[in-house]
Amino acid sequence: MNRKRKAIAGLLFLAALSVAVAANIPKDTLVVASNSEIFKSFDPGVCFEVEPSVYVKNIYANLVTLKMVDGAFTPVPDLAEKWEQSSDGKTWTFYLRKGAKFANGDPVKASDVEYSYRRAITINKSPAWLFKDTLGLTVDSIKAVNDTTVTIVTNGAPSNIVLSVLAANIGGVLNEKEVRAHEVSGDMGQAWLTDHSAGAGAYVLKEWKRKTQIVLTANKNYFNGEPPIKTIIVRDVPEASDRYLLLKKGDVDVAWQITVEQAASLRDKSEDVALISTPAQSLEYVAMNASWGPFKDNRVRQAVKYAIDYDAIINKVREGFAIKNQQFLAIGYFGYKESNPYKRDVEKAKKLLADAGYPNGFEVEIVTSESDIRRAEAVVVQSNLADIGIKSNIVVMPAAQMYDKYRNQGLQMIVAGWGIDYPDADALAKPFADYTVKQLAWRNAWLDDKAAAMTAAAAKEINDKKRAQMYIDLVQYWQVNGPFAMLYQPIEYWGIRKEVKGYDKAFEGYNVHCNFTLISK
Amino acid sequence: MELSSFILKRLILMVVVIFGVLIIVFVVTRIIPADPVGAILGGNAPPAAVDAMRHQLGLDKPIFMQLLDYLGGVLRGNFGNSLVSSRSVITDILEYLPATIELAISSIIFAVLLGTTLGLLSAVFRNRFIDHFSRVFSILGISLPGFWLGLILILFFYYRLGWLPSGGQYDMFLSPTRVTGLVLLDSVITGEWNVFFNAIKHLILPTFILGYSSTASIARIMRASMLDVLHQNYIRTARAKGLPKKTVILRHALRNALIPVVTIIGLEFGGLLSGAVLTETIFSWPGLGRYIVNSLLTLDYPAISGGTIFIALIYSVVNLVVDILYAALDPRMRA
Repeated sequence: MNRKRKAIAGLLFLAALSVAVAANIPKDTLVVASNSEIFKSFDPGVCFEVEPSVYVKNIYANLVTLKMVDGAFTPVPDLAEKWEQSSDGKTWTFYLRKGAKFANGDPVKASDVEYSYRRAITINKSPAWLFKDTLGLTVDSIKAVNDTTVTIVTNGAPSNIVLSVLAANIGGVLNEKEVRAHEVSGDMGQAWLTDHSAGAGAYVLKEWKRKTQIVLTANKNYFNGEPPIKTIIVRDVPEASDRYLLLKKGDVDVAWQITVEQAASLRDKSEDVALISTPAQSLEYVAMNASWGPFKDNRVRQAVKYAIDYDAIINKVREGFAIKNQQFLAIGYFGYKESNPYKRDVEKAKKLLADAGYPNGFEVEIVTSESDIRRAEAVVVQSNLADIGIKSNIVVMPAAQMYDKYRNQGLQMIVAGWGIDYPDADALAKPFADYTVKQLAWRNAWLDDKAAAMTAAAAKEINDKKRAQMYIDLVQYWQVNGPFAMLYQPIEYWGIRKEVKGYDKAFEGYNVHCNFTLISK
Repeated sequence: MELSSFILKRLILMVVVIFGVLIIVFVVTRIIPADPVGAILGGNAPPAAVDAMRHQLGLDKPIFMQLLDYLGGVLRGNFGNSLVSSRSVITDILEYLPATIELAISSIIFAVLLGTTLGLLSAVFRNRFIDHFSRVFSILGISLPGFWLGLILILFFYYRLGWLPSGGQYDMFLSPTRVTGLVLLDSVITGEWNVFFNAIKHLILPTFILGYSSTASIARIMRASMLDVLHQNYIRTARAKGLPKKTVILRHALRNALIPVVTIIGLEFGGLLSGAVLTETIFSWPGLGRYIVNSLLTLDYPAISGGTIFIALIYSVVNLVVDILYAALDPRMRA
């Protein structure tokens, strides 16, 4: 009897466990599998990482937003229905649309814009330099003239820069009343905004259970109307193979950060799952320290540029998920004109080395980060360099160690990438060509005054035609003299279930322009 | 020595150990030639922003001053704020620790039950089928990489058969009430039985993967210890008295054979707590292991120190309990 009872209890237990495992995802819910380890905060004044910023962008409305028009980012109205620029180009006046509300029903007022911008400058977190340095804003630069008009006084930066920065996450407009209600010891609501939201965008942050999931729900008061997808669940799945299996099995609609091999298999043959891709807002490069030994000689730097097999890296390492782009401007950016002067030419590279006095090569250290792709790229570069007699050793460093050395000009050679901060040519020209801003050109000790002056002049030119030509000239000069061998512009991709519609449109501009309201099922 | 003074002595030793761990972790993390601020702000941050943050976090002070600041904070129960999450390290740890403890407890229960049973059967039926089976099972458990095996099991039980979930603590559409943070316990307290059964299902694969190698070690030790005991004179005497084999093994031999096993259980449990990061990664488990490893990669000083101290504390407590059990089982230990 006792045994029988135990057996029945055991069977009941198993029956309880055997309820179907596969979750049925409702039609108005989008489930995303992502490694959310990088998520730190949903505060628009704090968040500066690519993936979390995708969600912040959909939670907060800005004065303006960017849209892809004919392959180029174009500023279009968001909370502001129109704007004017003073004749000296410094004072901007924005007129807010009537009737826009925050998610909690409060009206959006010009004073909210003033508060949000001043707050971003005051708390001074990672993205604050966009306001302070790029636009030259201080807390006194922003003024609410009345409930629907706000003026901003900039340093006179060209209009594309101003509007691109205002469209970035840092320009997200917060509900002043709600944020003030959640202030803790003068933190301007930072602790609360880490995992809550107070915006007027299409979605509201409902829950962030760290290392488990993030839940966004549709904003019923959104001024463009409620989006078709009512709930977005971002499941934290740290392992790429798990994300891929969940997608194939239909337990998630979208998988982020799958490996290039998985993406290639989806591209080549897939039944229920499609692959969506778009040019990433980043660039991959090899850089040489222009103050180190042989790299002081530009002929040696050019030899390296001619030694690298760009096609092998794009087609083998990236499985074709990359676009050949050998300048610092990303495709579709202001001033971009296709220009790829370098391709593998071992003889030419050897001759350049010999001319520079290194007929037998030399030894160099290549540093890279722990990513699989970067390591594979470093290996290709290593073997390419070996072909022209340069012996190189690859050193893989964790980010904390690598950036410390890099910032102090302490590396000989590096394989790395650069994510773009705002979609204007200046956001790329400055780090890559102007050493005075102490970014990439400085880290590689390329202290070229001509390039720095050209960059500064282009940043101030308000005649668009002239400005575009200035970038074309700068790119040409930089390609010949600079310390960078640009490998490619990556292609970002997602595996998505075929029933998900509009994802390609929604992610056309990756994190710069991602709009979940265009997605439906 | 009395049991109470034995415990007191061990407690004092524990404080010394924790203090030592604290100093070592602090010094080791600071002397690495790396900068956490660079990693946290990302590759694009301009130097002025990096310097400002270093100053804000007090990282521009001499190491000795930083250590004093830190120790002062710890004595007041303040482990500092994580450089990455900006939250108090204690808040972070208390959020992730329960998931790790839940998985470690379920794994150790699994390992002890299966390991002792296999070890016992191997010893009793030496060189028979069960002994060979147990030996192969143990060798695989110790030698197969958990990461690989975990992925294979997910592929089979989740993707092919659909019997078990691929990861997480429970299904995404459930929202259990948090009481202690231990999902199973919480669901029993609040009577959310659907959560309870769902969470059990989510525990099966990670428990197996995490507990497998411990099962193997326990089985090997148990077998050796049992064989040793079975050859003792008192067992022969018990048999000679005509007691049934089952009684001799379970009443007389098992208790004595368990003594070395108890020691290894303490060590294994510590290993399960601190070595769960791979299992947590493959099974999307929201535990402390991932938190600590991520802290290491970004060199998040307060989080590394806080996390390590918590693990050391639990490890010490578990081993103290084991020693007490040991002392209770074997009075000679108290000498």
